Amino acid sequence: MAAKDKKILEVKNLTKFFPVKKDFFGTSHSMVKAVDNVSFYINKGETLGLVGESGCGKTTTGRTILRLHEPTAGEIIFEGNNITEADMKPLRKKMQIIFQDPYASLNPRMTVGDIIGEPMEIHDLEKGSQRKDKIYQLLEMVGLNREHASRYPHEFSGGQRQRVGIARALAVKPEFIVCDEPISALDVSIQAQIVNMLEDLQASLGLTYLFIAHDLSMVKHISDKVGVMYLGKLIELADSEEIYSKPAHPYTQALLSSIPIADPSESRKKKRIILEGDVPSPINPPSGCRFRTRCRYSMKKCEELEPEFKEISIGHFCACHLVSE
Amino acid sequence: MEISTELFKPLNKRTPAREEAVRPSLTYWKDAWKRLKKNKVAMICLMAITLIFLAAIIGPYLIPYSYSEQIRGEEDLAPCREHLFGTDGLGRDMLARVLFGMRISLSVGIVASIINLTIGVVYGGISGYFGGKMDNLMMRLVDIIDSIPTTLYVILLMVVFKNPEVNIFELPVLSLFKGLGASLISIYVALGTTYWITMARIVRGEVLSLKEREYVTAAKALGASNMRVLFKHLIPNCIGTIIVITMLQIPTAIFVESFLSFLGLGVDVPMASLGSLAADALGGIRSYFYLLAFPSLAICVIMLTFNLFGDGLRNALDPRMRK
Amino acid sequence: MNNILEVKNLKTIFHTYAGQISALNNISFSIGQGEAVGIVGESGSGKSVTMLSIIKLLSENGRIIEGQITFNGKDIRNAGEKEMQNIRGNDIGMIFQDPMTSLNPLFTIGNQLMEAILKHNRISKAQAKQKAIEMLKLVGIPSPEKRLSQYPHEFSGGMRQRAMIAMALSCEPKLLIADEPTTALDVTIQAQIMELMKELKNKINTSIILITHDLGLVADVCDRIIVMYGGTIVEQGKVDEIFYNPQHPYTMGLLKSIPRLNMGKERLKPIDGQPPDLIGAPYGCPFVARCPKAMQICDIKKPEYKEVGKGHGAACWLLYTKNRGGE
Repeated sequence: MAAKDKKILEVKNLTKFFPVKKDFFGTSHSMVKAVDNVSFYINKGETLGLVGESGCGKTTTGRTILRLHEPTAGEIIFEGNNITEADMKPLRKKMQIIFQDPYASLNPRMTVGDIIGEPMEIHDLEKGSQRKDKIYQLLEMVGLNREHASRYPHEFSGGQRQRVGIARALAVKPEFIVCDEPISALDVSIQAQIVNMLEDLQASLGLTYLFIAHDLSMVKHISDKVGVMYLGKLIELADSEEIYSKPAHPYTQALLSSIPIADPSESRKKKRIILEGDVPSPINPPSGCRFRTRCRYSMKKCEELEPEFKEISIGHFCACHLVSE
Repeated sequence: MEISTELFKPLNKRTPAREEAVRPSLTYWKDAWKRLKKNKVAMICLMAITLIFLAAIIGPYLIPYSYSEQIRGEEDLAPCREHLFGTDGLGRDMLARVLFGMRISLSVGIVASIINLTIGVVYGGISGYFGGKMDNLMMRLVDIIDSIPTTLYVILLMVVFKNPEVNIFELPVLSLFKGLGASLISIYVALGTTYWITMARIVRGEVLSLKEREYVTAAKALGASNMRVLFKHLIPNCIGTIIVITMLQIPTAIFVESFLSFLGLGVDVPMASLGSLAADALGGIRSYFYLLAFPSLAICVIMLTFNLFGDGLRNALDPRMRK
Repeated sequence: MNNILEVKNLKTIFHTYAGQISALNNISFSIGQGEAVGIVGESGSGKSVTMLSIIKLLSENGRIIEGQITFNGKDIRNAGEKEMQNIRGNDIGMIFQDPMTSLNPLFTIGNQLMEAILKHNRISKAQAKQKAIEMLKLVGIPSPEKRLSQYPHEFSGGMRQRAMIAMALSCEPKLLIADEPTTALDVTIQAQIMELMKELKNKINTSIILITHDLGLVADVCDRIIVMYGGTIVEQGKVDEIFYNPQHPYTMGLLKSIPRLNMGKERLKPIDGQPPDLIGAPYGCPFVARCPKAMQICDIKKPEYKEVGKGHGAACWLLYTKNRGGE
């Protein structure tokens, strides 16, 4: 497909700092560097997976792209237009989000029908009986049935609520969806249902996903490309097969080796790379390479100089001094 | 084991792809009502409140005397068949006067709750939702209003309203209320300017924590305006708290009115309020104790039922008590 | 037999507004000396309730209505609160999902650790402190002398969980129960903690029950696996048996639904349907609504647990059909 190679979204040097501990006058003196100089792009119809541990800035990246947070610096380009300062209301129809917690992301006082109908109401899309039909159609699209429209979220199980959340996002016929850990709060046997559904919807509606997760095996399954974040930095980005077969960054290597394997004999064979210590505070991250405090190969250079995010082979980017030499 | 082979045939599946909702339908209100019904004290109070309202609204029409009618020759009667609560020194029927007093008290309660539900909820909601400097400013204003004692406030208002040079009832809006008298109006106005503070503070707190919920972010991501988020998502989710606070604010407002009337700052003669009835009866307490007993009892019952019912409502509606 | 824990026909119910919930239905299993057993199941499967029933820390609306719990040769099903307090911490160590809720924020780590040690041992304060330092070293906390005087909030998530493990192990319990010990932690920290659990298993001869929803975790650490679904044990057996020769359709479905790193882009095979609602009296197999091989009997009668090999068995009517063919 020719359309597939068209960039739908590009992020250039995206940065988001959050102020912490305001003083009496409301000015703050330190910043959480949640997202720091992150650049990537997504082609139309593709899925970019974004992985990392809690506090690495993956969720903030997703929400800043949707301008749910205002970026501190950098540019967001959607369908060729710079939307960093644009009026978001018309764009909300094109960019949507699916949340992690299906319990918190649905208003408990609204019926499922109202929840799915709300985006149409906001954007004045379908009216009257047409809207009702559309709601039923959406419910059936996500594997629920029309009787569910009059029920309240608490009557549903986690997986079903996540389906409602997906139907709501689809109600405005978006082109790009940020999936913010959409499966990590679900039971194992339900996760596969939701992932399959997301894949089906992508194929039938031509959607583009930014899939944020900490479960690397699921990310590998659903994504065309995978980006790894650590402490607000994108440290590696490559095709999903490539990143799993030839991880270049020591952190990616450790991350991959810490995934528990549901296969005892392979699990026993596997040599794990156990990282020492914890993730440092994003308020005061280490100088140079942010990973150096936990890196096995840490050198003097890592402390002094921040590694550049460079292309090491075609389509494979990495920010590490070891690789760039 | 004796099991027929029949049973080992495959089960006809009920189309598994379409999913059934698991839990039986039990909305928030049904759930709350279920819990409230279990609470005997609250249910008794609910019935008592209904009776009080009925008595205050219909009661005066059922007895042959009006609250201001003076019946010659029937002064200072003890409770008897014609006058169930007896009569006062001017020959006015006490039952009619107590029922009328209850009307005044309940009207004060209603005014207070309307103010709570409008100004209090909106003010608190806006303050909590927008936060930051706006929140700071709005809450300091609340602190200032809160620091003025209500009694002082009512007295000052009365001075303005009763000023013979400026007849406030000539103003087009207020002329409707002419029959109520300046004192009652000043009590309403005093309640109007001060009685939403508790509500505003509590709603602000709730909104402050609710606005971090993901469904709020979801609404914003859908392009919802601030007002939509506030009135469609945040305030409906504080509704339990709002109802409980309103219920608990009503008896305090009623008590303030009774207390002010008792001090002589309340309704104008010949109108009666429970507080002024009690104050009038105080002089003859040795001979005519029932003149004090009936209005005081009415105040007690109203206070107690509203408070106990409010308490029961809190247990039924408070999400923190939910399982 | 040298079983440290034996549970027989355990039934636990909860009373809620919506009705009675049968959280556990006839649970029977045993844990051997020095054995590590994984209890796997999704939310609502009863895995945590099993643990809470054993240590008698069920919430107020929960009650054990039937069954036997034998710990260390003693029946503790009817043990009083005093006796249980003695057993908890002393003979049974516990690790919970969220270490922050189990540590008191007002006391230092050293304080809490020493208190636990002193409560169950007759030793002097100085000795207890020495022991506390030793324990922190054992669980891999760097510079333990300094860490002793710090408060829980000064510890990171992984460190707190280590401190919890140190506390649970400080009295040399005969049985260690870990309820989702790494669910709240990141993958790299999870790997650290699991590595520590494996080390401890070899170093000290404690029996371990590891409760989790992640089959991958138990593959690595445990000797035996118990799979739970809808308040019943659907299958149990040696790790390799469960992974390479699963008998229950739920276990098979679960194993198929997890994506693996070495697999290509093929479609995942989920288990259709939703987890069961446990309200009301149980009848039939809890998995019947989602089972691809369901038979008419599964809807009516609850399958009995049946052994298929040494220590390996499942509760499924399919196992009975094989026999019937031969009859």
